[in-house]
Amino acid sequence: MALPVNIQDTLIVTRFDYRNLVRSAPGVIFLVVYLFVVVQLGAISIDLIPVGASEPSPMCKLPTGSAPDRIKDKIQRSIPPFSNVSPQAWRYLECERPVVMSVFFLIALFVVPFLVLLLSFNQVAGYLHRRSIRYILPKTGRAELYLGLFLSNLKFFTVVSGAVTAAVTLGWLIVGRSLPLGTVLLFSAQIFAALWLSAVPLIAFMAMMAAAVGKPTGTFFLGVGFYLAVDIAGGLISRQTEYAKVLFYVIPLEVKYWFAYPSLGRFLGAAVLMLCYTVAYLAIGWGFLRRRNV
Amino acid sequence: MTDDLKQAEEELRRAEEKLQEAREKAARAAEKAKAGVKPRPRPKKGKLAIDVQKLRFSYGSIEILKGFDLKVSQGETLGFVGPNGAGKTTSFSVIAGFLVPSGGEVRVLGRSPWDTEHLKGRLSVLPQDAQLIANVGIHGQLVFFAELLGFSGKAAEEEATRVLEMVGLAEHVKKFPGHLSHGMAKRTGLAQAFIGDPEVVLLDEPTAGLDPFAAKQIRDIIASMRGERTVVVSSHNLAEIQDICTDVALIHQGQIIKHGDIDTFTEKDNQLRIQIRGGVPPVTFFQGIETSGGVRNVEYEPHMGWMTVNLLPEAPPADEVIKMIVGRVFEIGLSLGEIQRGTSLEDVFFQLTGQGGHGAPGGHGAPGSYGTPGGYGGPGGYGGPGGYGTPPGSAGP
Repeated sequence: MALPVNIQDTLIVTRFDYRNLVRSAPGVIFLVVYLFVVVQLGAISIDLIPVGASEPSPMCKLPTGSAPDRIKDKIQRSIPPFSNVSPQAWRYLECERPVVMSVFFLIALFVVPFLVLLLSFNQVAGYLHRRSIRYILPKTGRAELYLGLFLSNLKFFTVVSGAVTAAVTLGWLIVGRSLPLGTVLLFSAQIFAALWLSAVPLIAFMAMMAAAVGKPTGTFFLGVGFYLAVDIAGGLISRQTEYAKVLFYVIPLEVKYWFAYPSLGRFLGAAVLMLCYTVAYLAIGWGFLRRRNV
Repeated sequence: MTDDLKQAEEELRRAEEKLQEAREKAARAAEKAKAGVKPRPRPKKGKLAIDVQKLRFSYGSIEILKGFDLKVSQGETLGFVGPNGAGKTTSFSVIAGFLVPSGGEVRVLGRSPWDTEHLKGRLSVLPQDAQLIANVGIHGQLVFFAELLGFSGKAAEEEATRVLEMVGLAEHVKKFPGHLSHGMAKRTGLAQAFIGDPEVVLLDEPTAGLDPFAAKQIRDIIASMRGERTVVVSSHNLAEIQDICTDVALIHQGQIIKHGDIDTFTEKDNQLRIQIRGGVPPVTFFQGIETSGGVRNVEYEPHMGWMTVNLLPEAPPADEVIKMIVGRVFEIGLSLGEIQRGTSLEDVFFQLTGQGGHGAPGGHGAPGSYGTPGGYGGPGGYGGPGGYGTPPGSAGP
């Protein structure tokens, strides 16, 4: 059975739009902000590595009730990336993984989705708004264009995120020589995979928004606004009723923290869910784009 | 002897040029075949390239296209004309598959315009208001389009270069869209429409905003496709349409109000327009022409000296009538300006759309022009009430 999309055309669109994205304002802004935020985050985490520390998890050794321990507890309870992680996962991140990397991991899981929204709002909307799509459509189908643009954004994110994670890992290895090499490399791979899998559905989410709205500014504000509204509303209402937590699953807010659990099954489950989100968003977006006036 | 030799040399030079052109064409065809691009069939006589039936399109509650039919035969060069807001660009956009019609049906080469898999490379479009992709050079964009049409690697690069040369942008291949003037951007848009060898080409205002040289270049390209490809051109430049098209469709208020070949459209065999210079001819001159065989009536507009001779179906060939009139003009000691067979497309446009043009005060051709009461040649032709011979200012209300 023939695929409903022409793979060759999709890849041509991906390759071309990647060139466009690298030079585009959203691409450059994403690159600068991502480099700044994530490299800063990495640098802070590297600074936390105690000189000459021989233990993989120095924070685990904090004396109970000491000032730093109390601060950590406070952070753990009130800051979203930490408060969303269960005590079981905390123990794993503190004691079985280098805790400095865990801090980086959790903050990155919290911050990176915003940056992904920054990157991907223009993917379809730019072509629709400038009507450049009219040059392309007689030469290939809407499905190929839609999928090709999604893949180019994903490719761009993969390259940037991969390069930055590799740089930060190198920093951990150089500064924290006492940290076990295998653990650091494995955990870095886990961090990269988790960030990547968390980003995929959000790129699809913005593709969906763009297909519905058709204008870059509208897509940006609606996409980011929706993401924040769900996050804030979910946080506020779930204090009153547990059922409100279902809001966190409209977008992959809660699921991404599953990547921090000490269980391969849970990691894979989260990965599958992320792909489901991706497929759902792409399908809804396609519903908008396939018969819209361009 | 010297002249014969020169002529022979000239013929030889022309033959060599043609041979060179044929070689280049063959080389291009071979390249395309190598790159996996299918050669396009020549137009089939009697087959439709575009078949539009009861086409409707609305923006919200505003109905733009009101259920028109349009059939464009393969090999036809159709001029699509109409006033602003008549629905030209909307029609193009629906035919190209950019807009979803609210009713009716569109078939391009027997397929829905949404059937990209089958129409890919066979239908190409110059959209009116689309912008080029901002962050990739124009050559890179054309290579991308060529790749989508099946050209691979080097062949795509060469095709991009070829179409840029075709529209006179060979020296600007490295430019980005942001560095192009309006005219250059338009020419780049045209270049993408000529990639490959499309069977149906839709060009929405291809020469708008171009300098006269570039506009002529584009007109020549379109003219060279006449009979070989189906081309639909929308333009406000009616003289241009009359020059390059074989057929015309006039759209007004969302309806096609007239469609036909350009000779019928402009009544080429039914009307002559002759400009007489050097003075106003006497009444007997017009009477003499009107009583000669095959002439229905004569109208005269003294402001620019245009005389319109409407012919009967049984009139002798137009060339003979022209010869007769020219002889009479010289007999009365006047001279000739221009001679036109048929009315201009512009006049037809004004008449059918009911808009003022030359027919506005002092003009000719539109309602209320020299054929109306108070004008020259009103009811009863020249000499009618207030007809030929009335004071200046009689060129229509």
